[in-house]
Amino acid sequence: MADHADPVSSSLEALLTRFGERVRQAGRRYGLRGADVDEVVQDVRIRLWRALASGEAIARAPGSYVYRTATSAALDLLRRRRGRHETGFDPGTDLPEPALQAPATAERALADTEIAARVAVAVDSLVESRRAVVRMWLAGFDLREIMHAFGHTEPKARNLLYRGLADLRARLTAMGIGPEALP
Amino acid sequence: MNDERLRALYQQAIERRRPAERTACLPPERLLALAEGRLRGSEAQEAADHAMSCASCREEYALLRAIARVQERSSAWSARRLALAASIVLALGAIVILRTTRQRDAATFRGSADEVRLLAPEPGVAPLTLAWRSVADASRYEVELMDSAGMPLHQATTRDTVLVVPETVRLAPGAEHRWWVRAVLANGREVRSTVATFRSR
Repeated sequence: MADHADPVSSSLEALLTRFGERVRQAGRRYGLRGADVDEVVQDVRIRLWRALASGEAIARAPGSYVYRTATSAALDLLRRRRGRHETGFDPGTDLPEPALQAPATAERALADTEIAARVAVAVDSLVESRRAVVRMWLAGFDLREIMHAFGHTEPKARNLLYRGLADLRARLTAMGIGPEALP
Repeated sequence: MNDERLRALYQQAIERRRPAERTACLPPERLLALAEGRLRGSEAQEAADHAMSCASCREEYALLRAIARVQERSSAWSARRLALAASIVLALGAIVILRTTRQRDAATFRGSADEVRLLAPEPGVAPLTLAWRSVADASRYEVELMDSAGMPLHQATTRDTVLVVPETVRLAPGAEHRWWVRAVLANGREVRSTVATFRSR
């Protein structure tokens, strides 16, 4: 790697530091792994280095250009992983939710696993229009993200989500998983 | 069951369902289209239905979505900056137009500070009345009426912008006459009109 005093390196590092931090910040809400961002940023670094040979060109690079480069790098990363049958999931560092990661007892862990499986089955049985919205919400995305993904207005997204969650709770209750079943 | 507990259980369930093979998974380009909000209707439903029930696709979606969100926020910020810049330009333009209009109106009403603008006398009205636009900061006006040969017929000083020529001043009937006004400003500077002509009855 070139010396950071080099204007090309300085401009590139400044750009990538800013961009990487923004992606990490945006990804935190989605439970994004920092390692994925690092890998993409490293790839973007190489691509920008090759494409924009001067510090001035890097400093002038529009946000849309950096975005296209990052998107392309991310897609390539996903393709490479799929090609190598990698999941990107590391059991050593990618731990589940704290409440589920350290259950008080083995019985509780087993109960959680069974209930989680039933929750998944109950979600599978929801009507199609509500199911995708409920899945997205359960997967950790908020109402704004749901609106963006489906192009729904807020009232429509809210309506689908609330009705879907109400259906889900009704199904869980019918399966014997009510509020009293899970403290 | 509270929302967070429900979410945690669902995420545990899809983690346990994580596929060993990705053959049934969405292509990365499809995930990107979903992350960029380019899918609609059943396409979006089907894509999200899988992406949010497959731990691997959900992770990949999170990465693509985080990158897309940075771009969206950047674009939104750019749009806001553009709108702000446009608002400033419009506001400045409006101020310039307003000020120009006001200055022009004021100049029309008061006259500019660079010259005294004479108004044509009403023909046939007796007594003869000479009028001109006021000049900013004028402390007095000196008026001179002359015959066609340039000989002074009447001179007067006034603070007003109208001068009624006494009937004792005899104007040659049907002859051309000349007049002009000099404004003396508060700072001692003088501003003159051009020499105007009118024909008496």
